[in-house]
Amino acid sequence: MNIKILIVDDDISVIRSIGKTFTTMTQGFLVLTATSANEGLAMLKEQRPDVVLLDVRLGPNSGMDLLKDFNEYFKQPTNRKYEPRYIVITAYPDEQTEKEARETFHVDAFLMKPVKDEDIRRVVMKSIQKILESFHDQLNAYTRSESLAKKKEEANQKLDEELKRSKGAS
Amino acid sequence: MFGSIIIPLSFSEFVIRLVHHDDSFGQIRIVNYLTGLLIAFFSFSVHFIQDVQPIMAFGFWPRPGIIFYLFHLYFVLNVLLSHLLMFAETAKRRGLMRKQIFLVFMATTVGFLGGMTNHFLWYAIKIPPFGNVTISICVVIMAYAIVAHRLMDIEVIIKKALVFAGIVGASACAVSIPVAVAQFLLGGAIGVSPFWLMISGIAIAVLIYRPLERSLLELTDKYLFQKKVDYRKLLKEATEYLSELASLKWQARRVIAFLVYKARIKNASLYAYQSHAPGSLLLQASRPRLKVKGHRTIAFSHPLLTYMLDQIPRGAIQLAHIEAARKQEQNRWKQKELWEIIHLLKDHQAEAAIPCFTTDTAKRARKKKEARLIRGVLFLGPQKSDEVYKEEDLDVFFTLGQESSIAFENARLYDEQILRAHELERTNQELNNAQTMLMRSLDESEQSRKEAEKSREAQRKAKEEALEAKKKTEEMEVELIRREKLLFVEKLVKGIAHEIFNPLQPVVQYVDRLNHVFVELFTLCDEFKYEIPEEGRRQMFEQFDLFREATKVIEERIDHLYHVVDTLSQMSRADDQSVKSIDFKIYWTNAVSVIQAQTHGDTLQEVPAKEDIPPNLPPVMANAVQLTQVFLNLYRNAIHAMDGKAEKEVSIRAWVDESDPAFLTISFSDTGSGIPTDMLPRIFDFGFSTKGTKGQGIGLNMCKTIIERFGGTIRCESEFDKGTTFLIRLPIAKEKKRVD
Repeated sequence: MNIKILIVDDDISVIRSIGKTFTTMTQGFLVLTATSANEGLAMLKEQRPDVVLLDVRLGPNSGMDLLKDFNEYFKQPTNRKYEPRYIVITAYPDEQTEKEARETFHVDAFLMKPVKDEDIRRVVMKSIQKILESFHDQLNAYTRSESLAKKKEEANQKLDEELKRSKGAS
Repeated sequence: MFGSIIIPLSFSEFVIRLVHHDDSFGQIRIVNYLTGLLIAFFSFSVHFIQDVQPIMAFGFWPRPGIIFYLFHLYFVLNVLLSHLLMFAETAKRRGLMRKQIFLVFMATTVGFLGGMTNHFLWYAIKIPPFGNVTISICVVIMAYAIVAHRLMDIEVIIKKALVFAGIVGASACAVSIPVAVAQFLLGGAIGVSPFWLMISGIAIAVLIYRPLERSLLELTDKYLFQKKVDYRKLLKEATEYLSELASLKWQARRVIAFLVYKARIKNASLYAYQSHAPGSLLLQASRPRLKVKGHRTIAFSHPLLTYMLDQIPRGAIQLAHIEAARKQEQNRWKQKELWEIIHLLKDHQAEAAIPCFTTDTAKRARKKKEARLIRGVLFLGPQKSDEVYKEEDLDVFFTLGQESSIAFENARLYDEQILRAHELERTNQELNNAQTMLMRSLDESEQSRKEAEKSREAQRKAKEEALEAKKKTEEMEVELIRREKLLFVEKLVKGIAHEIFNPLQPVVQYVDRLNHVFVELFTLCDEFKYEIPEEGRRQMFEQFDLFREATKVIEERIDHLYHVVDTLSQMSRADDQSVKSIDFKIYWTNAVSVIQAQTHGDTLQEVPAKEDIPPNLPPVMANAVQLTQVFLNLYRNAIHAMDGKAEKEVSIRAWVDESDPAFLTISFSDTGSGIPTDMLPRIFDFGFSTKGTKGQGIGLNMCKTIIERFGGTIRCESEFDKGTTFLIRLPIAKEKKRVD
């Protein structure tokens, strides 16, 4: 199994540096990169990465616009219901952006550069855990569906009652 | 014969009464009477009639004696004189009376001429008395006069006849009774000759004539008709009435009532001038009420009034005169005018119309022919006694008219006076009203003046408020500019931070990796160390040591670099109130220059702050900006406290107390005058100030609030004249990474 990570940043050295965390030093990750918002969006659409690490200062546009575009794209029903996990890593210490990222776009983490390797790793790990949890929940929902059992129970009862009644009437 | 003797006497009396000269010719009439009586006395004697003899167709005709001729003369004299009188009166009189007299004149002339034929036979002139037929003519004419011209009312005839008959009878009795009495009583006794008795009888008759006449008149009046009215007396009465001052209507009614009741006139109407209708005379009163609608006014232009003017000084006009004048009038226009006058009079059932002038206006009116000077017109109906108005009567009425006119003028003036008084009152009322309104409008103007003042006051206040608002706006603008500056600075700093942090990212990561590499390499080399010669081993480990140091230094420097930029960026955030972990030493390094710069601007002094802050202190929780404000305050206070001192020193020390490991302790002391002990507990109280430096930043109370918000404490120690030390404890930041 491969975890796909997309890194979006306009500074190549940053991309390389963060990317190395998931390539050379660990295994099982597929790293995708984009240096602009458009590139990032294209990557998202095509590759559907599991985790996205992005900076909010991408050239002239604000990073939040990128997120907004992503969101809008995924809201359309024609697209397969898929949502990556977002992690913002930025050098711009703006409180408002942080608030917006957390509340509106529900990013998993908002990190301030410079970020240490271990911090990055930990955060990404948390995101993956969340993904696994969601799978788990879905599977559980099918197999261990209390509501389904309950409904079945109720239906059986009603059926029995009906049968008894029809029998008693005739 | 006796009857014929009465004829002349009675005829004369009749004529006299006809021409209304009842009271004149007194002496002549007495003589007449006496003569008549005398002749009557002798009528039975032979001297009168000698005997009878046949003549012509008549079997018996008396032959006149001497007395007869006397009688005849008496007869003729009476007739002639009477006729003369009538003729004279015809010329004198006018109107109805003239007509009446004239008719009687004609009638009697015819009658007597015819009757005269009787006398021919007396004189043995052989002419039969054919003229007696003319007596019928006479009667017819008289009848006509009676009917058409109201010659006599039957009442009057009876009255007159009665009166006269009564008088004659009484006189005859007066003569015969004493004679008879005397003859009876005294004749035999005294032996007076009947002649003297007759004389005495006549004397008695004469004596009792006048009173007898009066009493008879009274009797007839009382039981039959009305007395002849003495207008002159009535005029006197009327004047008394008129002298009372009353309204015009009232006066008019009184006059009319007077005329109708006292003056015994059948109907009367009065028109008078009133100032509110200047073009005509208005009907004031009338008895009985006029039924004709159109006669409430008589315009001044009516021919009646002009005609009246022409009649001046008499003025009064009679219907009969007018009618006669109309018949004679050639001019068609004038005829028409006269017709109008006649109509007017007839409509009022008036026999006469009297103009009323005030005293002198009569003459003036005549001169000017100014109809307007006639102040009133009085219409008189016929007298109740049906007698024709005599000239004298009309004169009396004319005078009454004048008096009335004066009275009416007075009454009119009186009326106008009352009207004026009313008007005056009304004007007075209006003045009062106007005054009230004036007062009210004055009040209103006063009120509006007050309101104007109020509004001016409000305006002034508004202006003040506007000025204040303007000042505030200016202040806000200044603040806004300051803010913008700060924001700009913030952006700038953030931008710089970004440009520094971004490249730092890979550096940080690679430093990490260097550490990894070190660990891996060393572990590896450590495994193979025994396969390398010792010298080589030694060199290898030295290289590792160098590697270790290098990485460490790089790491540290990167850390420091990060902190510096981070602190700077934190401090630049004007609005940021968040409590974050900061490195105190780095913070202080940046803050001190800011503080000193600002204090220098305020106090023009600069006191260096001695620092004793070791590096590697654990980060603490605080807000850089607010912490700077706290230290700024402390610093200012320190300078103030050290004012005038020779030795000025501010020192700051930061350490972690072993007994208090969760906090970083910071001391800030000065060598100032200190704070008195009694004031010490109160220095952190709200509003406390010794200098009144409210405008210069925050107070100690605020400092306390800030520090406590960080989770720390602040307290003060002071020694008088030695100095003051503030001890601040800030919580050490938990091992919280810059991540979640």
